[in-house]
Amino acid sequence: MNTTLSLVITLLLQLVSGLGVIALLRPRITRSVAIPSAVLIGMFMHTLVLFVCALASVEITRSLGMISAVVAAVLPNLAWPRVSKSYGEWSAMPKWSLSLADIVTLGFASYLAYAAFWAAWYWPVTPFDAVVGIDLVAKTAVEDGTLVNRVFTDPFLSQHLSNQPFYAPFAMFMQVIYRLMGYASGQIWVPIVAMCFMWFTWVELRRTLHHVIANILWLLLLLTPEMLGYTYLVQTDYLNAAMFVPGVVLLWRAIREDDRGSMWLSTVFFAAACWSRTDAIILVELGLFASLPLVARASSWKRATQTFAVQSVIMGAVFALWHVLYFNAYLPVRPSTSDQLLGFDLTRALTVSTSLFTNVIADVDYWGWVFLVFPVVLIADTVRQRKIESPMLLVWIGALLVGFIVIGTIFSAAIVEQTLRRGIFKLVPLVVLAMAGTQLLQTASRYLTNWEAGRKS
Amino acid sequence: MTDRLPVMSRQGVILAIIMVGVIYALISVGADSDANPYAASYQSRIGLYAEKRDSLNKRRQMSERMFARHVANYEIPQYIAPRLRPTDTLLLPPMSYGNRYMRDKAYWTDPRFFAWMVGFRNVIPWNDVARRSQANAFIVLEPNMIWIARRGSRNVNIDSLLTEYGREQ
Repeated sequence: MNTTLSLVITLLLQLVSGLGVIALLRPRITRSVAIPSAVLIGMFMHTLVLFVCALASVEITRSLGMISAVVAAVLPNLAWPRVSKSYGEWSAMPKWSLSLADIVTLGFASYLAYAAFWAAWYWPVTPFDAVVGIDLVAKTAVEDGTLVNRVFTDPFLSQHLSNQPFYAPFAMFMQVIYRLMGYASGQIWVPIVAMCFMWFTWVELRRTLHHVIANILWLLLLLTPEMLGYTYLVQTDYLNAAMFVPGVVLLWRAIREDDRGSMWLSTVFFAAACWSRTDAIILVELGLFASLPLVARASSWKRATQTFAVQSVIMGAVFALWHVLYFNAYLPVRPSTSDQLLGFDLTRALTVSTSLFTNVIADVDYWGWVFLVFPVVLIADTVRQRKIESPMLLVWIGALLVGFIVIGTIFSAAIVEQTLRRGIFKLVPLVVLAMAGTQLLQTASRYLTNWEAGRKS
Repeated sequence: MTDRLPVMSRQGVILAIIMVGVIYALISVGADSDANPYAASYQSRIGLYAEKRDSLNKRRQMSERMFARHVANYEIPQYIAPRLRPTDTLLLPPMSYGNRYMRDKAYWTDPRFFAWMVGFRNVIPWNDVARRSQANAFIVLEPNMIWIARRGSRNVNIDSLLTEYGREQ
């Protein structure tokens, strides 16, 4: 089958899979949020099915790539009476509400998407971590037809694997799927993830703010210097952010709108985040724990703790699939994670914190002006309103920072300027969304809306 | 904001022009200075390829693109692999030795990188002290020159080469 045709069919199957999951959970989200979310969730589902096949010792072939996509698409849609109602809503005629400024912005974003697709198609896999980890395992899995391949069995190599080949498997499976389709370097999925993630954030910003302010904030996110390159370079971090951030946004929405469906969809996103990066489980658990009071305030402590327990079990199970079951029951070699674990040391924590803030977060060459503007907007808003808007996002921003310091302190392999630097990919969209939630920008939005409508404010 | 406003209005056109200005300012103004990090990053990650896309697209072979991206880290394993004999066990030198002769970091000295480039071979990395003595083929680098030396070779004293490998370790 032609590679482009394979890509289109696989993407459609992943979309159907994700839509099925969303329809099962029934969150109160619009179609414009559901579609990009569905593609991301569908990718997660597809890799899970492929993983189960690999565990069952089914040979990894091109047919398996497609069959596993079909299985992933069929599974959540088996409960057809429950899911069919959502399909009916999603197939209604769209009501466009695009402004000229939106068209200008989306036109420019489409050009960026084209450039990212071209670069992902044109260049070979480049980042060192991907070459010696994710892609080495994926490439060999496709050649050998098994996950337990020469990377782990070759006597000359198996003693020198370090930790990259053992990374959480989401990105590796995506490489397997795209290499099976016939893409020489895989990695076309990277701009697809970026596109869906940016689409999701654009809809969220557009929902909250006047379209011009939303588009300007979105452009600052889209053009974030360090993130822009990773819209076509294979790594785990951008994928992780694309799963983590929708999880936080949907959790926030679940609490504000008392929407259990969004709560469970956010759990699926968090599980996908844990499937895409090993350290995500620490960050997600910290964030969920820190947001317990907010969840409890919206419902009750009993319900909040029950939800937290179920979420933790789901994420723990997804984490354990790879890091416990697969490592111990299937692989002939194991990562030397315990060698890299250090005890918590306050001096080291201080060094990590200082380095994180001064060398990474404060560097405008990495993140542009977002981290400079955010405190100004936040302080101005708090002084003006005498209360904090969107506390949920601030709690998660705080939890992420604490999590980064903990990870940088207890794992010797987590280098601040590399590992934690790319972890900031999760922080930038949350900061942009938190800014969008401030009364300062809301007031500016109302003023602009009135001016545009020709009304007196 | 859910208000549905008219698409073609005077205000709508003004706001669209403002957006064009914002995009232009973000990606173009101050690209050569440190003042605008967005412009510099856009130029190096997107703009540069846009300018050179026609000439880049003339490179149809993946090997050409591999070379363009990985340079000597691609070229050196490609040179070594076909010259290895079935009985060879190659000692990969330490990265510090490779770095002396390359502009980029000598990633090819990592056995995982080497395997990704040319497949699985009998290679022992320098830091495998226990198995280092099993090696019978060694890489010699000189400015603009590379070859494989074997024990008993007339041109190279292997013990001196290993001492050279160990320098700066």
